[in-house]
Amino acid sequence: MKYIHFVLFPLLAILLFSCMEEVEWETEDYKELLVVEGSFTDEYKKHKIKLTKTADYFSGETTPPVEGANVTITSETGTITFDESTDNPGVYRTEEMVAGLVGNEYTLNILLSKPINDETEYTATEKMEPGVDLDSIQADLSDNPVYTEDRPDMDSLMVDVSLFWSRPPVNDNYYRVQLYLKDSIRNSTIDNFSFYEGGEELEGTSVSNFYFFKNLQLKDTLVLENCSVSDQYYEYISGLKKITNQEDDQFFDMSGPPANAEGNIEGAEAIGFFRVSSVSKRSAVVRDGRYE
Amino acid sequence: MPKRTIITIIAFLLLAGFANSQEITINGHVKDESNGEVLIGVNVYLKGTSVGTASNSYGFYSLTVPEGRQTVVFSYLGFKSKEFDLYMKSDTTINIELVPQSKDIEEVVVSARKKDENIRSTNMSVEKLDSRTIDKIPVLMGEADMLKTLQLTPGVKSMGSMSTGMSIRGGGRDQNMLLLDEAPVYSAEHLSGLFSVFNNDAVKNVELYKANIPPRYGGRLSSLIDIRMKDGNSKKFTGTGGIGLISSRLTLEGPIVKDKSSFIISGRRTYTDLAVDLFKEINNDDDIQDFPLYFYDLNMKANYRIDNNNRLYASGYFGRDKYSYNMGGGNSSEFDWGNYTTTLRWNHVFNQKLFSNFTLLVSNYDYLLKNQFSAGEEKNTYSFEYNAFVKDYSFKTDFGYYINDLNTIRFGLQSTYHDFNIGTVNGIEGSREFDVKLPKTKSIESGIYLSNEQKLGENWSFNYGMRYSLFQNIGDATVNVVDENYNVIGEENYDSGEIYQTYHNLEPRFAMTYVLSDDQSIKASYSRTSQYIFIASNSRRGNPLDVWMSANPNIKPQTGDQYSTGYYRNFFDNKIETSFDIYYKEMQNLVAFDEHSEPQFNPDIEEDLRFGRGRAYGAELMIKKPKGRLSGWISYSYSTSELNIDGIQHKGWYPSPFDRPHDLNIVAMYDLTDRISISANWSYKTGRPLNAPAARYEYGGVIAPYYSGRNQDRMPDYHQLDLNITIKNKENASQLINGEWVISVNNAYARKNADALFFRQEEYNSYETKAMKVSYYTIFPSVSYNFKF
Repeated sequence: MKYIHFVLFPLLAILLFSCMEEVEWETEDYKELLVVEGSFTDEYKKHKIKLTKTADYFSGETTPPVEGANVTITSETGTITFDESTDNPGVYRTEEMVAGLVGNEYTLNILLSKPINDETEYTATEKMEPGVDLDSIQADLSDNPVYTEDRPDMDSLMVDVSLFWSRPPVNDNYYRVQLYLKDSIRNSTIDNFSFYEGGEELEGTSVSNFYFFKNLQLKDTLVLENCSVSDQYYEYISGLKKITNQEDDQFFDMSGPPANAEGNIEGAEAIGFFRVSSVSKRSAVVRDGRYE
Repeated sequence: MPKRTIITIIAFLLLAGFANSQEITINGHVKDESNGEVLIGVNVYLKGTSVGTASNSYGFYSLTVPEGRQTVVFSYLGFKSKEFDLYMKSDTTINIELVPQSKDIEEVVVSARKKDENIRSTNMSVEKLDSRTIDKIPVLMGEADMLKTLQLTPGVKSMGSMSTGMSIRGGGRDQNMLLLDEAPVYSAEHLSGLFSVFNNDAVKNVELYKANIPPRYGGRLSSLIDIRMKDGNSKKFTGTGGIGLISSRLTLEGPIVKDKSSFIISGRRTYTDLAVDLFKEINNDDDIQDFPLYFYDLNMKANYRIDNNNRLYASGYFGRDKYSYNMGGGNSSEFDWGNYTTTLRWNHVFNQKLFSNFTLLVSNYDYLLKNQFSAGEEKNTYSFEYNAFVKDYSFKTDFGYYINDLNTIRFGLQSTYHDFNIGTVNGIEGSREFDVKLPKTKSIESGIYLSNEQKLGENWSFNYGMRYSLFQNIGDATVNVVDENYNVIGEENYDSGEIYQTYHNLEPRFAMTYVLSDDQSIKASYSRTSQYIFIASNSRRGNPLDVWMSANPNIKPQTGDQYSTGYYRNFFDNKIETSFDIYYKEMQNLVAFDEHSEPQFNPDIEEDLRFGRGRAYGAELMIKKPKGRLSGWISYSYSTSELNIDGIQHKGWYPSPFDRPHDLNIVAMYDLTDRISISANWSYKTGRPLNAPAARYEYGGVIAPYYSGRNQDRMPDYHQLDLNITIKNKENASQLINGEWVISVNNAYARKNADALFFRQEEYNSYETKAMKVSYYTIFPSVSYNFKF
């Protein structure tokens, strides 16, 4: 919470005498769980599902992939099957190029070859919510930001990005916005996701927001991806962002206790999210928005 | 128990109490001879009998005794007892002044009986501290602090070494009623919990009720912390003060008209600004142009004795924390918060037996948070102003009817108008302006009560009563309509003055004592309490942005039931007092917050609220030596506190954030010589519960911890030793100023206690995860100089 950080300042000044050190910690009741990460959209492409398992918190190793699973997506229009990648264990891709349809409900079915958490069958169901019809986007470079309290990357440049649409999102769905530089390695960690909520106040207008970039230059091409997402996905990512970025709050013991982000995988207790989206992509060349 | 049986019992008790004749009543006020302060809780009794009473919060007593020759004794801890041989034929007023005892002499006074007040009284699970005791136990940075000293008594769990918030017998931190001269104080923290808002120089004494809260108080589930300010020296003009490591204090008091009216004014200010300068230096941060950070507070009180039967008191508290940060170039932020309270009281003695007090009070807590950031051009300006307040206006009247030496009836009523504004924000973000007002809530909370303190025979005493509380939400208001899945599905508007929700509760309170012998007794109590307002925060420890919310059509009031029993025993002619209490407590309709919720400034806060139950039980042992060259106490408690909240990621009961089973405190004060005294206190507490990761997983390019449930792990145990030595200058009558040096060491053996514990990933390799422990401070020596003139 942004406001909280202001409260922390008075404490900070007093805590000159504080010290922080690593302590030995034994994790109790470690449980191995299935982790699902995947999406299905209305883009015509090969869609991807990634299956992994949890690892011991202090193991220091990557999380193990889940191989040999049978993965399908079912809907009223039929069944789509996934093939396991040979060079990328735990990654499953659709056999064919395929696109989903807005309004349809899609169910992900996972059949494991070996049970995890005493269960071999897992499912997840989501409906594809309508997306937006983006006409264009506009990206204006602003002055150097001074307001970087939340941003460790102080040398970042701030870009004011506006979205213009032919059909505004007047429903109350959530939309995920992701920006990346064309031709650069696409950075898709959840930290780079931002969300906005549709509504009547967006009628006939555009939305604009500030984004921060490192290594950005004028005339670079920015790509914006706008996805419709379910409320549950929005909650899930918000929760996940919180548990991975809450050191400050925990240091000062100001926030509520950390809690898991609740995904949509059903079967036995499992982690992750199967997202279904309608996607719209546009790009723009970064202009100089500064007056000087 | 059937209703009829209860009525019969009450009728019998009343009849038994009233069957006396040929009596006269003595009454009056008891004061300290040295400064004219009224003394609270002075024992007034007939020598050689168990007939007696105690002075009330205004020093008033009334005792009905048989006609004839009697010896009346006035005794009070730390004062020489006084006794009078009286031959009484008619009602008499005796105003008494007691002389403070020189400290190093053990009391050698003739007082037969009644020194065992702790044995005979129906009060159980009550902790009393006076400012002199608190002064002897500097708890942090050489500063004495009442709330932190209370945390050394059994059943009181601190929320952390930098917090004045506390959990009493497993209750939440918003379940404690903090009253300063009758006015509720909504936020008791300065500097985010480093200090409490109560300046010990202005405080006379404090009483903490953990079990049977007297029926004349209501509104909180767990405890009453009744703080009384000094009245001011009515004999002569004096001053006291202190210069400490981070704050200075000055108190002036004296008569306005001698023996008729007096005043006290006491102020404090910190110079944490200096710490900030140091911070700047360490960080080589020249950007910070201006960074004041401090708090100040002011206590003021005046009283006027119109005549023997009428007294007026006016008291007030005003304190603020201020912090601002100016980086130049139109970038700044400002944050300030604080309380003020004002209490006006009129004591009126109707007759020898009927004492009354009328109170008018205002209490306010508010904060303002301002931030401005400008990126050089108008379009990129970002600014906001956020403020919120809680405000109470209250009227209260209390009567004490001292019928005879066996019965004291108390009755009265109270009504409070709550005006809560949980936040307005306005500002500019880029080209957009925003102006959001969260709905204000207005309500009236009222209560009436009737109780009787009754003695039955030599050995039984009872204190029973009933409080009826009533809570009404008043329009104009806009209230969210919430469905069973906690979704806001609409809103309802109410007109100005319309009462749109009413809740009420009957709150029986009962306590009894059975005296086994002169030095031992058994006590038991039951109390039901209700609470209509609560803090809207999911933080265990709290912060200044916490706001209060009230019950409404979506939020039911909370209720609590507590059953306690105890064994009280004194040893060595009452030199050592011990008590052993056990309790069981249940709480209903507790309000909690959903996982990941952000209560601050949330217009649909109802979506985040979850409801459930709480239960707590425990045993508390206290061994106390209240006076002598060596004084102090040893307290130990074993307790459990659990919650069961719908919607929390844990099925069934889980440990509450305040569940710390073992809690041991040893406090010792010793007068080495007339001029040098030392004190030490040592605490040991089980570490508090936390959520620790059970596993780790990858999703969306990040590595995240996975938690197995709520509060299933614990931090390392906490223990700490504080030492203190006070050296007085040689007292000399010709000297204008008498001073003393206080040297203290907090955390003397430099234990790195865990104030926070969290888990992080290494920056260079995010698969490397480790547990980090934060200690807010280790060893902390300090020195301060106190003076009086």
